[in-house]
Amino acid sequence: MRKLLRRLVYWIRRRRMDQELAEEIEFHRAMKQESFEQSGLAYEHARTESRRAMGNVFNAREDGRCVWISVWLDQLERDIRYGLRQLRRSPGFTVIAVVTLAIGIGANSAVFTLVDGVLLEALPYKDASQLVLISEQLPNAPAKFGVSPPDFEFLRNQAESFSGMAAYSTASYELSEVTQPERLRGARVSSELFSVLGITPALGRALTSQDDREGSHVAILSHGLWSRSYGQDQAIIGRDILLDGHPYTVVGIMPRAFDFPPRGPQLNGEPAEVFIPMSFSAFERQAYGMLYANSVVGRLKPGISIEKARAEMTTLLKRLVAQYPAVIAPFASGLSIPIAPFNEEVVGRSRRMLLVLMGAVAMVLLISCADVANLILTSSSSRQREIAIRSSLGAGPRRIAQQLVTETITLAGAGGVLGFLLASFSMKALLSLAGDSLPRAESVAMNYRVVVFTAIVALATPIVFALLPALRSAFANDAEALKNSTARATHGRSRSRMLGSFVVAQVALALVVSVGAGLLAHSFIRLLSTDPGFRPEQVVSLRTTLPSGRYARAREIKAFYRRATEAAQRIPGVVAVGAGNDLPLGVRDRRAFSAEGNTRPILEPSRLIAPTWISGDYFQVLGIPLKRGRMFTDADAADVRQVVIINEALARMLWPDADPIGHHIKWGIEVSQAPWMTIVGVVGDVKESALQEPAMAQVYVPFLQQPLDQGVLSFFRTLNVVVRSPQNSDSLGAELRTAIRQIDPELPVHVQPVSDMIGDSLKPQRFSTTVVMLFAIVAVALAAIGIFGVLANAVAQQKHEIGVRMALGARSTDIVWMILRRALCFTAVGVAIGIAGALSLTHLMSGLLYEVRPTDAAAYLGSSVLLALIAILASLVPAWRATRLDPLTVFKVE
Amino acid sequence: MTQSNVAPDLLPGTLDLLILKTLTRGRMHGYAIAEHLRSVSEDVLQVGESSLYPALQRLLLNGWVKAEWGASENNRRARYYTLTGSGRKQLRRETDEFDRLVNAIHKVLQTA
Repeated sequence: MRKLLRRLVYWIRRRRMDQELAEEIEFHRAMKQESFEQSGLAYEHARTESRRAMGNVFNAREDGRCVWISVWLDQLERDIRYGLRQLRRSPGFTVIAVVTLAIGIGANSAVFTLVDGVLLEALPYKDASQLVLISEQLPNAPAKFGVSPPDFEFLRNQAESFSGMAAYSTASYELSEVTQPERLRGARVSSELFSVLGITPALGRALTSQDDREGSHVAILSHGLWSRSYGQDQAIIGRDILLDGHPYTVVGIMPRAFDFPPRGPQLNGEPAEVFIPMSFSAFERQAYGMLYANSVVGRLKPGISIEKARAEMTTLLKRLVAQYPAVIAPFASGLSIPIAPFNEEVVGRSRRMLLVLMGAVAMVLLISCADVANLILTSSSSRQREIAIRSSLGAGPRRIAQQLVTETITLAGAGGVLGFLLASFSMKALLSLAGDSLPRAESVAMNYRVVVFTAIVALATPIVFALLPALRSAFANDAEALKNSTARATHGRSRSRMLGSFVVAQVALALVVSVGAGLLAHSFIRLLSTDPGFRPEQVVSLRTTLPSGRYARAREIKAFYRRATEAAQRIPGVVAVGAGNDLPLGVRDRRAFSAEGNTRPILEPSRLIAPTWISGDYFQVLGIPLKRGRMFTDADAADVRQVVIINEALARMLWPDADPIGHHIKWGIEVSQAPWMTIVGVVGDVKESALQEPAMAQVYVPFLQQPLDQGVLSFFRTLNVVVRSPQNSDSLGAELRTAIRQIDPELPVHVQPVSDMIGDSLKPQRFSTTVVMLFAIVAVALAAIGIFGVLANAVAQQKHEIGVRMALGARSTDIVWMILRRALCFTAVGVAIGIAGALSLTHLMSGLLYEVRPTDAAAYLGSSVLLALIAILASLVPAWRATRLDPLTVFKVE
Repeated sequence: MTQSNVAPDLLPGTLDLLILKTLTRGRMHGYAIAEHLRSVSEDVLQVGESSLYPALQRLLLNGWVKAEWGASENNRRARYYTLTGSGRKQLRRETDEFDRLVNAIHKVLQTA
């Protein structure tokens, strides 16, 4: 080890060390000379004699150096130096090669950085690979549910595959009696959560089973909340804070890095800032068939595989269903309990998207490698002579190959460094483009793994591709090259075949990438042109949450709804005003329902409905058409008989041949205590969750008629006021804000044009489409460079032939056609191979596409035409140059 | 390669041993070491510079000697070598090893 250190010191100071050795040897010689002089030799004679006696001083120095550095390393250094000089000598070649490599490598490190942060980086919990998310599911249901309280308690007590299991669900709380009152994202968590995650509080204690009972009022704060609202005051432990007006005793503070639940598409996928005990109520404990809103995280026992746990769940399920009350047993019989790795659930669909991106950049890299290989091949014709001279001076093929490889690696290294810089600069733009659509974006960072990945990519891939030309040059027939000063025709054939195959490969790869981009773009266009079921133009929404302090009772909340609607109506130019607890594309609630008899029998899993509580002219504002019956009226609010409006999907499902008006539905199962609600109208279908999802059964309930009991009150505290006006949306938004401020000046509000909400809901698709399109553009551009380079080279090589043809009377159109034909030939073969490749690869993307099949003709045709056009464009300059050749000069040069 | 100019009858590695042994007399520069070896061996060991200096570099690398610059007896700048602790240990080890080797050769020569 110390020897290595000494070597290193020597290496750093090698110039000085070498000099010292030279000085020392010179001293030796001087001493010798002196002794010769003493024995009677003349000065001059003594000097020559001492030199002779010393022998080969350079050998001694070289040997001395070799003690420290092996010959191989020394040679390598010289090769690198030589390579750099060579690269400096042809700056055009160097710049193009390095930039091309940098683009390819940079794209790969940028995407790998995302993959690393999102897919590879473990969740920030202890041994996160053992954590699984347990859900419940009904067959054919669009998404997995959470776990109901009685089901969770059953599983926690019975399942043996887990060392621990914890339930959590997020909720919103109002934090008051602090300098900056605010609404917080909080989570009800069962007391085992912190031990299951393996994270202990930074301060204070975790929750105990003692805390997890009804009426317990303790809280654990996130580090962020503790810093923001309490200035990291340690004395907060043991003190009370007010959440929704109720005192909770702070018992612990979580560490800074603790982030739970992880942000993602899964249920309850929003980080919480305050954790309070789950404390199921007696009602919740018995809520069979209801309240499937709790996420359950489990830790697998060591040695228990996820398959084993799944198998156990299947057996437990039978016993669980047997516990369900008889009336809902048929409903429960379809239940399953899926288990998935926690990380996989958090990442969701992004995994597929990232893998597609990774594939796209890998192809971009291959194309850029082929470009560099082309460059090396074309430039090797001019290098041929130099190499021939070197080998005739005694450099063996191995030595020459080694030198060329070193040169290539130097090139790749420069490309890698530049590519890494490119990636780190573009990371910020990439992340902001992704926005919230990328789960775990906070763990994306250019860490050492990215550096290692970049280094491996930079050094490995180009070697493979540069090796072919390098080896070819090294073993080329040198005598032939020496004789041929113009390097005209000798190796033309095999080289141009190799160049041609590179171009074909580039075209094929570029086609695959652009087909991928075309598919995404086409499906994005389809998404944009999808009818959302409502008219978002000229509509502005205002979202607010009423704090429980000032709006403690139903009466106050309803009064606010009324006053807000009235205030908005007074804004000049306003056509209609409405309000709803949710807006289209953002309805997250799903409820089970039952319909009065003599309907068409429906499958149990379809008994799910997306409800919205509305008031005012909600339908008119959003332009949702009434198909049958009537809208709500003010008279409904006063009536005790509850009324609802359903959408066409539900009408079709239940009464395909009859008029649904006058029929009744209710929440929950048929025997539930919920009152029957009369259907008074049918409206058009609205995309309630996302543009790409089909509209599901929906029901609209008049909010003002809703008898709000205390238990469901907090559910209605968040409301959206929607206003339709031909006015400019900015000024309308400002006036709306002012109107609400006049009712309650302290209320935080969020104003947004509804059309923006559509844009926001498309962020994930916009991200993947934009990025893949970008890569496709790069891929096509790089392929164009390849085509251009090869044709330019071909023209230079065929000067002679072209000259002869022209001398024999060929017109310039013939010459252009000759060049163009070659370009089109490459492209045709490349496109054919590319289409075959794309057909076999794009089915991997089907999960990312909307109403577009992976074999979409438009994408294939568009990409093929694009590449053909690009090929023609790239061949125009070389073709033009060919027509400008003067036959006379061509022959003179010969 | 580094041994190419060693006096032909020197066993490989012996030069290092001889240099270490010479340095037990105290701090010396390369010329003095060569002169010492020559005079003590009564001109039998003519150590060429092309093997002496690489050998010294090897000893430096192994940490058995350390070098510092100083003024020579005739006021020239010269590099002086000193034996280090680990150099002494190495000398003992190599001396034993050498004795063993010589004994073995001797035995072979006598019995044959």
